[in-house]
Formats: sequence, structure tokens, C-alpha cells
Amino acid sequence: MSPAKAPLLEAIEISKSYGARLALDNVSLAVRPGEIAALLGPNGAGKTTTLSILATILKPDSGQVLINGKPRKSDPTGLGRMLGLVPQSLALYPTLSAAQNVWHFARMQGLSHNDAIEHCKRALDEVGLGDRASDPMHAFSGGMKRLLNLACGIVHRPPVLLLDEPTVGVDFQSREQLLARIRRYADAGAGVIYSTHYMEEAERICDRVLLIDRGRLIAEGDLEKVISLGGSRPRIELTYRGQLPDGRFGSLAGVREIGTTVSEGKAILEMNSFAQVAEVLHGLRTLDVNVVDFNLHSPNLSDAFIALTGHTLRDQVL
Amino acid sequence: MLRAIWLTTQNEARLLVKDPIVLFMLLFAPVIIITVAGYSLGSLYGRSANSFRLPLVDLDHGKVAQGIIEALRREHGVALEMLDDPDEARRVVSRRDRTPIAMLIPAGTSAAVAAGGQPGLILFVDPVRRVEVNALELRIDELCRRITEQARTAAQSQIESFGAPQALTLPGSLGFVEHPAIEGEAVAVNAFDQYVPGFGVTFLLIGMMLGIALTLFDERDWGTLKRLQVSGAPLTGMLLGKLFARFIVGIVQMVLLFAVGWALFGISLGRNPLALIIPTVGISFAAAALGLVVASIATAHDSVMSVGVTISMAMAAIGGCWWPLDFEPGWMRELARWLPTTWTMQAFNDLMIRNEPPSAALLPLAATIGIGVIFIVAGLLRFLSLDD
Repeated sequence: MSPAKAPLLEAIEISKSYGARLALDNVSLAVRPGEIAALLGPNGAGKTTTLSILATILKPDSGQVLINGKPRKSDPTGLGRMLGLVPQSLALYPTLSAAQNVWHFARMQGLSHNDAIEHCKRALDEVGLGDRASDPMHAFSGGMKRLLNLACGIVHRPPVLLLDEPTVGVDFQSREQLLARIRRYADAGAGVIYSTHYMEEAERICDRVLLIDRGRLIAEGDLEKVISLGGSRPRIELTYRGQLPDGRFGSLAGVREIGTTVSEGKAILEMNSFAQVAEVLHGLRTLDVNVVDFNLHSPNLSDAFIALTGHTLRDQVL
Repeated sequence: MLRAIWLTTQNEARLLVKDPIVLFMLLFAPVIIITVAGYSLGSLYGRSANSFRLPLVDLDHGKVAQGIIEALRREHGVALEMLDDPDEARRVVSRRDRTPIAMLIPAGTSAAVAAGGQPGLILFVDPVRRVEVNALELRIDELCRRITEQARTAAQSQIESFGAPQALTLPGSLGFVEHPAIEGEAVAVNAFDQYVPGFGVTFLLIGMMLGIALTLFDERDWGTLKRLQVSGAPLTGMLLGKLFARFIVGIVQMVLLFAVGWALFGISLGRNPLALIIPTVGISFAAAALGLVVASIATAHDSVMSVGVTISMAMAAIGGCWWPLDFEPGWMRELARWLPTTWTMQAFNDLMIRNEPPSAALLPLAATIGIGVIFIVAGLLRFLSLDD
């Protein structure tokens, strides 16, 4: 990823309301070649509205969307074909085979007959459905349908891929395949906007994170930057037996006690860095704390999200 | 179990209330069909909802003719129209929207009856409207029987008063013979000449509703239309593409139906069988366009079915696909002029039964296409507004 590259897709100060409810409030974002940007937020945060506006199938109340630096209306067909949308719902034809589904999207997206043959085969192979091409879509498992949904979105090799919660309802194995393929697609030069409420997916494959909540973009940047915006630090989670000394952990340098449940024998201590772990454990022995188990916890997006919004990623925004 | 039944019932009621179109159709669709059928078929059960005109030419000017005219004037639902020229009477029948039958009382009828003969009234009939002709002929037959009986009763009483039966002749009986309104045309038709196009059009409409409205509704529901729009496919183009595919299917459906009708039931294909493609094109186009309208107003699968089937059946019934248009009361015939089914059936009847040239189907084609264009524009506007 190179930040110097011009954005493939850019939203500038877009807002959208549904009646009295403000769904998006002055959101600006961009995606560049080779980059996967995670659009991360709880259900109802405005992710699908954002993607629909980026895909130019929903008009914003204000603001604009630029594809390759130009508004869509300057070349509706040409610029539209730069986009590939993989919606959250399975926008496919259930009675058609996998190949027929992909073929229809390929042709509708402007590929010639010969190009479509080649692209369909490649798209189905890429998502691992090459050997099931002639099977009807309704006979597929949920995960396979998701993979086919992806194949229809990438068959015309769009430089920009918009993915709306593509792994919802997908089993572990299919999810792994899907994530790997999306990463490869971006590595080949595409810009990807990946909408999800699974923060672990964002952490795994995304280069940049856009945290959205109640229609507002509350944080943006690479993973480390967004996590640091939350202000969280590494933690050590202890399980101990017996009594804690008077003054508890106050004598340990560079450590802050952020939660202790005496009745369960558990305590959480925040450190400046993981380099302190040995020192902290030694200090605990000095204090006669009988530690029977401990876990180390790196600050993550979930911590940052909670810190920035006051609620968890899986909470529904009402 | 009972709880499940109760909860499901409640939920179904909620779903039904949420979909007022379905509710409306469930309640009013039967009323619409019953109204159309009741008004149209009323005459078959003895009391027509509307009166018919009966052109009559009296070349006899005798007592029998006078008796017939007076009796017809007293008949319920008959509007007698006196004409002087037999050719004019024929023309009235052969022209559409006039009357299915005209009567000619030949010269010498009264004299023939008085002489004990069996003269016949001449009825000019339109074979396309055979059912109406039969119904009217029953009434004319009854009238002839009454007049004959009256004449015989009068003669019998004369015989009895004079007491000399050998001096008088008993009157003969009065009957009628059919003549085609158009020279060379048959006076009766194969029933399948009516049923094949009539029910063909009905099922074409229903098929289009299911084929277009349901699939368009599904595509809206699945999100495929939206998804394809992202990559530059115009919504209007996609909709018209769907209509075109179904339009072709509709034509093939009607062609197959006519082929089967000809092979199995010996239907008439008219003087130029290829001309049947003209009304077929028109009705396929209008039906496809109507499917778009239904898809654009439906809010659920159930709506598509109920709205589509009700509209199809009502249009077929009012448009003369199930029974002759003239069965219907005046206001319904006025309404029928705005339906593509009416024009299509008119064209099929002209080509197949009246043996008219292909040019007779051009005006109906223009009317059907015109109505179809209105449907398409309305459907597209509605779809595009939903898209926004």
C-alpha cells in the first residue's frame, strides 16, 4: 500500500437521513490501490448506507462520491464498471448454476463473450468453486453461496471492491478461504472497502480501519493508530490464591490496577509495554502474591471501540 | 400445539393487515368477477341486463307481419328498428357494435299463412355472436308459435261459428330460416374458434403476470437489479430486456395454441393464417407491459399473485375472451374499449370467423400497442421512482 497513490474511491462529506433519523453524518473516506479499508461498526451504525452511497445506488442528501477522481455522472457506465459490489444479501439467481450466475454478471458488466468465458472460469477458480460451476446455486451451502456472491462481484476485475459483511453466516473454513481471497485480490492492486462488525477480521486482513458509530466516522487510520486512539495499553490478567497485601499492587512501578475481583481471585493490571512482564511477575512474588495463572492481553480494536464509543462492537445501535 | 396455531394465526393476520393490496383483492376480487359474469351472462338466464336492437324489414305488410311487429314491440328488452331495405338490415348486422340479428318478413308471408303454407321469416345472423343469435332465436321461435296459434284459434272459431269446416282452410305455421349477414359466410361457427383465442389470451395474461411480475419482484427482493446497476447496467434496459424475453414467449405460446387448435379442434385460421400474428404481437406486448405495472405496485409475492390474477381474469372477461362482448351492459362495453383484450378478440374474430383480410387487424393492433405503451410508461415511472 502506498499512501501517495491517488484514491480509487472517495466519499467527501456525505450525509444521509431516513426520515428524521440521521444515518450518516458528514462522513469522508477514501480507498487507494492495493489497500483494504475496514469499515467497522456495530449493526445499524451506517455501514450499509455508506457502502450503498459509495456504490452509487443510493443518493446522499449532501456530499459527493468520486470514482477515480470523477463523479459517476461524468461517465456512468465506464466509472460504474470500476466498482464491484458484494452485498450482504445474496444477490444471485437461485435456480441458475454457479457458472450461469457469474456469466450473467460478467456480460452485464460489459465483458465480451470471449472475455466472459475466461473471466468466469478464473473467478470461479479463485473462490474455489471451479469444480462446482454447473451446480445450481440453491444446492450450495451457505458458505459456498457467499463465495459465489464474491465471484460475481470480482468477475469483471473491478479496481474497487465493496464488500458488505461478506462472512455473515459463513462457517470457519469458508471464512478463511474468503478472507485469503480478498487479501490476494487487494494484493493484486485493487482497493477494497470491507464492511464488517467482526473486529478480528478487520485486524487480520485490513490495512486501514474506519470506525463508524451512529453514522459518524469516529476514528480512521492504520490498525496501530486506531488502537492507540482508544488509549488502551497491554494488560496482564492474573488469577491468584490467598490474600493480597495491604496496598495491593501500588508498589509495582509502571503498573496500574484496572480491575480486581477479590472473591474470584482475579486482577487486571495495565502496563506500559509487554517488556515489563517479567518485572511485574517478579514484583508480585516479592509482594507474596500467589499467582496460579496469568494471561497477556494486547490492546485491540474492540478495546479502542469501547474506549471511543462507550459500547461494544456487537451492540445494536438503536 | 394450540399455542403455535394461535400465534401463527395472529402473525398471519398481522401480515395480511400489513399488505392492504392482498386484503383488498381477497375481499373484492370475487365481487369484481361476479359482477362481470352476472351482468354478462344475465341474458342466458332469461333476463338480460340490457336490451338489444332488432332491425326489421317488412316486405309483407299483411296481418301476420302486423302481428309480429306488435308482438315484438311488447317484448321485454327488444328495441325494434324498422328498415326499408334488406341490404341495409344485412349491413347493420355485419357491422360491429350493432346487433347480432336482423329480421326480414318476406312479401306474401300473410297470404301464405292464410293459405295453409309454411312460410319462413328470414333472419340475418352474425356467426361470431352465435350464442346471442341462439338466445334471440328462441324468443323469435316462441313468438312465431304464438302467432300461428292465434291464427289457428281465430280460424277454428270462424269454422265453428259458420259450421262449415269444408269451406275454410286452416292457417299454416310460421317459421324462420337463417341467412348469413355477409354473403358467402357460414351462419354457425366452430365453438373452438371462440374458445381457442379467448382462453389463449386469458392464459397468456396470467402467464405474463406470473412470468414477469413475480420474477421482477424476486429480483427486486434479491437485490440483483440493484447490484447490476452498480456496474453501469441501466434499470430501464434491464426491465425492457425482461419484457422482451417474455413477449417472445407469449407469441410462441399463442402460436402453439393455434397450431393445437387447428390440429385437434379444426379451428378456422382465416383467409391468411399468418395474419393471426398481428393480434398475437399486440396482446403479448400489452400483457408484458401490464406485468411490469403489477410488479411495480406489488409489495409482496402474495400481492403479485392476487393483483395479477384478478386483473388478468377481469380483463379477459370484460374484453370478450369468455363470452361475446354484447352480453355485457353498455357501461361495461364502454370500459372494454380501453382494454387490450377487447381489441385483440375483435381482431381474432375478424380474421378467423369473418374471414376479413389482414388489414382488419391493424386498427386493433394500434390500439393494443397504444394501451401497452401506456402500461410500460406507467410501470417504468413507478419502478424508477422506487429506485430513487
